[in-house]
Amino acid sequence: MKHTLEIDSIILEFGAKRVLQDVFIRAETGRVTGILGLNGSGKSCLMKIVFGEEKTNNKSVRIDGQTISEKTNISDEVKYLPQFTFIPVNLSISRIFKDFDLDFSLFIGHFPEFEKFFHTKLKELSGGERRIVEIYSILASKAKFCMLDEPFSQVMPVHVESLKLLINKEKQNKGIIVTDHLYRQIIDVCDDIYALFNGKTYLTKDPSDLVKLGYLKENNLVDI
Amino acid sequence: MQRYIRLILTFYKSFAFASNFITLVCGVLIHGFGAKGIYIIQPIFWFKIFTLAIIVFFIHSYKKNEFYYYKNLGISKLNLWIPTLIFDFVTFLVLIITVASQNYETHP
Repeated sequence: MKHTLEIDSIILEFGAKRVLQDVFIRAETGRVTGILGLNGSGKSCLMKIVFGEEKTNNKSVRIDGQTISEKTNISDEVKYLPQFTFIPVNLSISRIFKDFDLDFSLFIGHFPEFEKFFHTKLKELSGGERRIVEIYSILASKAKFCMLDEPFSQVMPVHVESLKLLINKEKQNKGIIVTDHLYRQIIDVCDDIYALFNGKTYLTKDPSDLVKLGYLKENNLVDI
Repeated sequence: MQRYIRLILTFYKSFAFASNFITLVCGVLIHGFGAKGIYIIQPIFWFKIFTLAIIVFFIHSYKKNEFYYYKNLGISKLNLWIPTLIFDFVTFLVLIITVASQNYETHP
């Protein structure tokens, strides 16, 4: 079944500074939606607002046209991967998979080198390995949408490719919103890309729009 | 429900040692005061409340990122704190009432 997530009418201010003011993002099942923007442009804040972890003056988040209020338990509908470690490090991978109701054998299909880690606690893994477990937990769990904040940044290149395959597989069942500064990966994996500048979103048509908005330089486009 | 209890226990473990240690110290203090133990119950009560407030502040400052784990699994901060704090405080009350009543029986 196809679902849509629409985000708009968001106003976010820090003191006198207005960070977000004219945002419209639409995500849907079967598509990967990317958000690119400069540091401090409000990408992470936007995801936190959708997840209900950042209070704002005004927001409208709708799933299939139904408004998600503060009282709605949004985690039934949307999962969120923050850019920092969020899983308690004392938990073992087996326990994490049990909590998220995930099949470890499917995980091994994507990341075979993790087979020996089934009973290993998260704190015994490297930072990159932890990140893979976190990304998979969010990406593969049951939800209509998932939002990934910097999934590629702490991960080694071979795992980035596996993650992109996983994203393409999971988008068959859900809508995915992703943001990262590794723009090549974002451009490669996303069906739609929004640029977030001066608190406003712009739906880009091709990577040259990112040059016009000042996110990329002309020579960044050469290898895209 | 099973998952909810498992997650609540995991969260409680993050501060159970410190909180139960304080509860134990409270019990030992009341026991040590013998017949006069009844007179320190009120300050002990407020001491426990004060230390619990510090623990809540500490967890919110140093373990704030872990709340995203529980929220992704459908458990809000309030749904974590309410059962764990009630359980912790009931444990404290049971201990001090037991110690105080034993004191009373020994030194009526």
